[in-house]
Amino acid sequence: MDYQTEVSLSGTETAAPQAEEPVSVKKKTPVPKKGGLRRQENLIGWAYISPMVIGILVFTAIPLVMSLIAMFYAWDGIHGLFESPGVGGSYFKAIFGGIESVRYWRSFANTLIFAIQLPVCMIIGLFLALGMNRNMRGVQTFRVIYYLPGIMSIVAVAIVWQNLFKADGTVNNLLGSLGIPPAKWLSSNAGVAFTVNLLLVWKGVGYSALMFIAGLQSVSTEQIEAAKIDGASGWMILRKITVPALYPTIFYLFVTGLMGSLQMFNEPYILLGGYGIGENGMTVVGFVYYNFGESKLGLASVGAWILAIIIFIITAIQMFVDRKRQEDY
Amino acid sequence: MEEIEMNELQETVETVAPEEDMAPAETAAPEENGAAGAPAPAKKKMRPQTIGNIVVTVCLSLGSLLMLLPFLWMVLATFKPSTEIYTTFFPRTWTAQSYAEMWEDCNRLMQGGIIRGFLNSFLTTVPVVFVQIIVSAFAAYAFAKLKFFGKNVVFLIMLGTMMIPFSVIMLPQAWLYGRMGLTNGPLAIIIPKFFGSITTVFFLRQFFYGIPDSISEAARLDGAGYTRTFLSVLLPLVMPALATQAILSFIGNWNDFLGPLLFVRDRNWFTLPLLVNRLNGSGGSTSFIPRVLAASLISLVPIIIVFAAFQKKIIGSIVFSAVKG
Repeated sequence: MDYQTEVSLSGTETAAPQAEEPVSVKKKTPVPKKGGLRRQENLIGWAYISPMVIGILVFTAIPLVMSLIAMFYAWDGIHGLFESPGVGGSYFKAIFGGIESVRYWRSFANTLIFAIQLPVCMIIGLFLALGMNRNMRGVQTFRVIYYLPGIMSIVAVAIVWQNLFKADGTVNNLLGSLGIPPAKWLSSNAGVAFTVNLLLVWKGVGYSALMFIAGLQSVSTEQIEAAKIDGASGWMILRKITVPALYPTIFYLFVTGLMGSLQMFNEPYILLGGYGIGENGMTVVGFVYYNFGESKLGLASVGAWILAIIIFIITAIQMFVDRKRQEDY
Repeated sequence: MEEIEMNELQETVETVAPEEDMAPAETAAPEENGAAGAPAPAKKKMRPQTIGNIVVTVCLSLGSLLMLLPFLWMVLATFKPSTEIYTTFFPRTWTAQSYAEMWEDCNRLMQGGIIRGFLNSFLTTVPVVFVQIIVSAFAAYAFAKLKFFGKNVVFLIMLGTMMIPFSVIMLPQAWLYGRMGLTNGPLAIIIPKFFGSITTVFFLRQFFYGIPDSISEAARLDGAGYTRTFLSVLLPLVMPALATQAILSFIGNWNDFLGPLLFVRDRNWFTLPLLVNRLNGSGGSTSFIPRVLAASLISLVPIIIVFAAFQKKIIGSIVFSAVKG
């Protein structure tokens, strides 16, 4: 990461702003006389960032350390962490092969299954973007409509889907009138996988499309014109010029989408009405939340940290790829 | 990624920042794409393009219908008696009874009913977002324009905390807020946000970078202090960015579910999503459905209004933030 260079570059310019003698403005190291100014800027700088720093210390750093320690304690979330009995590595054993392994890895599998929507979203989004990138009437309206589900409260939206796909719900009724037997949309594994993914696609295509529209602005017009003159078909242009030019967008959408997907909770939780009925929609975050309800915060922490490590790895890969791509330019 | 982002963003910002909006969408839209050529010249070429436009419009319209269908079903369902809810699309007998029932249900669930739900949601979003954005703007300015001891280290640590999944820290947070006595009221979803948002800092920092140093230097030569320079000279320049962040942050906070679910214990302080979720869970029978849907629909209204008012800004900001790869 090269923030340092940027930061210090712009920093040195502001370093000696209100010098009484403008002669010394260009100097990089301030003359001792201006020590007071430097100190003032130090003070002001820290004053401005102090709320953030305090906030991070109290509301992120402390909980972070606590969750690390909690993995080894039978913490109920009511008493203090160190008032709880230590359990050593038994939560790890429980998740890796022990009594909790079925539920945890099941929730892990569910989380991955709910990521199937990602490529689907991206493909549909790409075609929508190609359509909405045209110079024609109503494009702005289309953009609004396709993006609309994305900003709606997930609770309200998931309740609608719950009712559409209930055992005796609208979809099954509709299928019934066509002579098709009802499906278990919300009570079988395959049904849940399908319904949740469908909900996520519906909610997510608009965003993908908007991102691709932005990406399309960087596709070179001359290249496409030249390809057309050479007699390339629309499909060829799409495959050989447009999509390669969109690789950064595709990569960005996939990585951020994957991060979001791995931390999914709301959609399946509300759609399936909590975990009272069954666990077939439990995600990893759902597992964490469920064990919060069961007063097993230590177990929940182990589950959360496994996910966190995977997320860290993906972030590292993302940074590596980005760095590499930049070097290639 | 970050490096490209920053350079590109910076360039964009420099040209765009002081301007009103940063929506490149419309201006950029008439550009090329796979099928449509430049629209201006060659009248004989108009034909295939018009046909293409018609085909695309029809396809997009059909897709729009699919996107809107669940909303339409929802609106219509609130006007149905519960017996019709799954069997008809349009109500056979129109009734607004569900709204009256919803009103009563909410009153039973919490003091003040759905009005209280709105007030709770309002209280935990609007002032919160306001303070959050201002605090973040101060920090963003410091990171972009001031030189102080330990700046880069602090900034890197802050970036690092962005990677930490919420699920790791949320349970200790719940305990911590409980110990601080915040979970009995709405404070647990208010106070922590007063300390700023890292994503907002990161976003605004780019905008402050884009402002030439000469502007703030001029202000300071006129005798204005740091805070004065920031508040009266630099802040107005990044106002469009601030507004966009405020809108996005408002929508995110208004829709937030997991945070309130964990941190708000007292049902009198339920936000709208919690209230609607509780209504939905309170009854298994079909007779409940219309009123739950009525509550859901009503809970969407503020977001719909905000989206309608600021749709260009919202969509523009997404497209803008995407101009990075």
